[in-house]
Amino acid sequence: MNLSPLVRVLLLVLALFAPLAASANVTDYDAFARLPVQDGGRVMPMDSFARLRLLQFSGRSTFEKKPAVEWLARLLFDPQNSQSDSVFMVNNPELLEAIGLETLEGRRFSYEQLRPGMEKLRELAVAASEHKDDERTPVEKEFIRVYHNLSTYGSLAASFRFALPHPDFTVTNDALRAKLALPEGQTAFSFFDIFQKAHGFANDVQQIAAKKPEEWTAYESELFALSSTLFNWSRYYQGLPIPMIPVSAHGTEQWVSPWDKLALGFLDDASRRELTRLQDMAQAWTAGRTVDFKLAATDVARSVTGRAEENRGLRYLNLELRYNKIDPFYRAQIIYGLFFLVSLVALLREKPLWRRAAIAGILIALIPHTIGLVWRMLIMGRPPMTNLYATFLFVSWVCVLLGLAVEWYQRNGLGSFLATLSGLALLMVSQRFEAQGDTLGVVVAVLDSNFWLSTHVVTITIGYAGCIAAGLVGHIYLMQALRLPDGHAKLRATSRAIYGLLAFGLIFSFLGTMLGGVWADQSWGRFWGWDPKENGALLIVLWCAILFHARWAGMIGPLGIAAGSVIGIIVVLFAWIGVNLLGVGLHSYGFTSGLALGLWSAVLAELLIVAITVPLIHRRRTRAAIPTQH
Amino acid sequence: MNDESTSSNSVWSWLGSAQVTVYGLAFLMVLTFWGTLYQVEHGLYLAKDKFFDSWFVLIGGFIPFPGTQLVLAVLTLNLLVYLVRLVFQQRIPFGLLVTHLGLLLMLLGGAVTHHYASESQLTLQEGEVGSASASYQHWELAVWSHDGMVRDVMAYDADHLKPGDVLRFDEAGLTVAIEEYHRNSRAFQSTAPQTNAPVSRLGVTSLRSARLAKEPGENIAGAILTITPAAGAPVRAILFGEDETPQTFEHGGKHYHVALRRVREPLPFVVKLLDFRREMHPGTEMARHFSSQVSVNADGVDRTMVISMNKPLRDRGYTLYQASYREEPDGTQWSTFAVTHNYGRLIPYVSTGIIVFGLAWHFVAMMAKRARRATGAPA
Repeated sequence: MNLSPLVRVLLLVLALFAPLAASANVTDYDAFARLPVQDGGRVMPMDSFARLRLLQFSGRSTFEKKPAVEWLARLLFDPQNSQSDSVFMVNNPELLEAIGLETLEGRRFSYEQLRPGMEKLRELAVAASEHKDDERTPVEKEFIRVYHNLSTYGSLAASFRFALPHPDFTVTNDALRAKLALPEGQTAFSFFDIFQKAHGFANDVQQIAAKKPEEWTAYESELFALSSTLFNWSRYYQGLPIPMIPVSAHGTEQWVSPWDKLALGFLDDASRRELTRLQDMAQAWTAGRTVDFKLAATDVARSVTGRAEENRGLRYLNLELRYNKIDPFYRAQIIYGLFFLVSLVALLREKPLWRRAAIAGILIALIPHTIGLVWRMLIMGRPPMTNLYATFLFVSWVCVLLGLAVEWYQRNGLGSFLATLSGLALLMVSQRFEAQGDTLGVVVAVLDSNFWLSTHVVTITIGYAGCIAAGLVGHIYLMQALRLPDGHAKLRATSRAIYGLLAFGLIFSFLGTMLGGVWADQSWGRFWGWDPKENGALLIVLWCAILFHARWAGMIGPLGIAAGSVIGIIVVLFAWIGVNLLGVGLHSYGFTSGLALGLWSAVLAELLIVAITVPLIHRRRTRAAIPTQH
Repeated sequence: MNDESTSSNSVWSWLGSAQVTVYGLAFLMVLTFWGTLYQVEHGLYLAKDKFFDSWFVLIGGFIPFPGTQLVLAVLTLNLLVYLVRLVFQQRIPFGLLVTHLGLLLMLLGGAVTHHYASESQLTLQEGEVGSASASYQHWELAVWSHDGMVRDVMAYDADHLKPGDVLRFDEAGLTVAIEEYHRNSRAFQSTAPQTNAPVSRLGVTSLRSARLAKEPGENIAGAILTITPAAGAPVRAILFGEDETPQTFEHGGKHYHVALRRVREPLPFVVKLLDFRREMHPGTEMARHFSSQVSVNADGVDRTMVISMNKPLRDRGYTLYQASYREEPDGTQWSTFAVTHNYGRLIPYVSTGIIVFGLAWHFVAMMAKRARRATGAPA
């Protein structure tokens, strides 16, 4: 991590936060949200960019209940006033102590609050970044993370400086104003205003430089000062975000930020128009002119889209925007939640009306759930499983379908309950993973194969779903067995469902594991290498095989299978999430330590459930003098 | 007699029983879990060595626990006995029979791969030609001479060398006595004048043993030894694995070179790296794709092809995969290929197919049976 240029920029930005207080009255951000920008290797709408940055800083995708894009607009166009936005999440209070700000309270702080400790934080972050990744302590990782966020914030704050009027570019001399053809009635101009006139005064400046300063006229002094500032600014403002202007270099398309485009010097008509309209957009925002703001943003989007029409991301900008806005998985989660209670009544009462209502609810919830998955596939052009977050969405979807299948087979409310429970619980857990970064992001080279992603990854994930569903039904069995006598028809039905789901899980886990082997053989030259992820998948297969063989050998009965399927959830969690935590890396700050805690709690909870219910059921059955199977 | 046959029968039935399977699978699970956690601290290679390639794992250095090899051998025997007994005695659903036959094939295939497959690597700079790959972890003490284009190599596996070992290279007239051998070593130079200092081309004056690295490829072997030519005085020499210039001796009018190096595996073809390419995700340092254009010369015939992620080169039983790359600031690029040679390569494919077919057959048959039962019996 190269910190010094960031620091330089940051310090400069601090110095240049000029008092340009503005009240923003812009009310319509739709066009701005739709602006295409490039980030993390793909083109996305500004809306997604804003959400990602806000998530990165604050762990939330909205700020003060307003869309992230509004917060970003303020940061870009009115950096001075956005300094008091409490957007920096600090996970480790030791950091505050280390930078001498221990008096601050809370978890999220503003730039203004953290500024007094910036210099110290920079020192600590530089020192921490000299250690290897796996040798850093949690607080060292926090130094780097928070400092990186503050630097990113600083860069963003400077990214539209080119478009905003600044006292550095003040023109008071009438002759100079006439020479540069600048509008009357305005004294402060933007960098971009003056930059565009630079070719017209380059010769004059050379002549002025040849003279002694004491011989300069007022006109010459002002022109020379203007030209020096222009030069200094263009030297300092480099490598800043946000890439939003496509340029063609060596036959490949690259996206550069407005500052970088200006640094390239030559402006073709299209990019000049885009930069001008970006300036119009920024100034319309500061003046609170909604219509102008919207029109300018629309113009830029149209022009960029027209020039880079080959780019895949551009085709799905609107879809991604809709995806962000509608948030289909959240909607699905709400519906699953509402019908969870209905399906619980259906399971307990076995009334057909309740059962039908539950099924209807599940089918309704499946609509946004499925649409969400399809949209993600369209936006990414990949199967719906490229990161941990996406696997949760898919596993919950498969579990819901498995629940419907069980319901179709048994018609007793069990399947509906499984469907709503898994839909609700897994989608709720998935939200924890959303903060990981761009959930629609690009994949690393080894995953760059849609064929294997859609065979191996889909299969193994279906296997996870089968085992998770079996485990959830295992819980239901344990609860039922606490009050029903051994051999009761309900228990037998639940047990059959567990057996079927486990078998389903085993087949897909096995197939997925083996397809993983085939993929590994195709890309690395070995079928099996005892790598943690492979081992995790193998553990699921082994556990299912143990349960089936133990049942067949008479070593365990239906209760054993039920308890085993609950333990199976732990095995799946280890394979699914646990192994990712083993290689504790850069992503382990705050988020992952919280994840590890969550994982341990889940493991402990499952073990407790089995350890408490199984002996209770045993005792109950012994008392009832009914012969038990273990 | 009768008792004996009953007891041998019961041993057989126990050997082929599901209990043994359950215990075997449970042991395998424990080993897999433990071996996975072990990797966090010690890396994959050492975990493989300790848990997965071993017959016993010594807990605390002295309490033996069955290793994966032993557990897999027991499971294979268990499965074999079960299937043999099945032929005579029991009935088993067709799907499960097929599944278990497939599993047996997979276990046997695993054994073939474990004993007969080799893995090595070949690193080439753009424009460079290679005809032998080098092992990741195994070292050899090699002596060779050039005769025109032909290289005559004699080599001893060096991994288990210890002080006091004497190796004879009769053809070269050399006797090598080992004084020190380190599987992973660090080399040191001393500027102070020393008496009887060992000879080293790199100017190394002493070696120190280092802890085995997580990645076996990072180990650098080193040895101090005395080389006695047939005619001439003994020479005390340091061979350090990173020293690419060998020690040279003359015997019978030929020059013989001595070096400690990674075990070489000659390839049945010659590979030339023509061009290495990598593509990044736009605006990031994250590789999207990398590939190597190579020309392969086998039996005098040249062909040009591209090796990339998920698209290896297969020829004469050998497979070359794009493994990694290195790039110098001046733009020079190296590409590293993993080279494997495995007779049992196709067995996992076939056995997976058989097992999945068996499992799916059984699953569908059970579901159909249940559905029939459900419709046959009133609710």
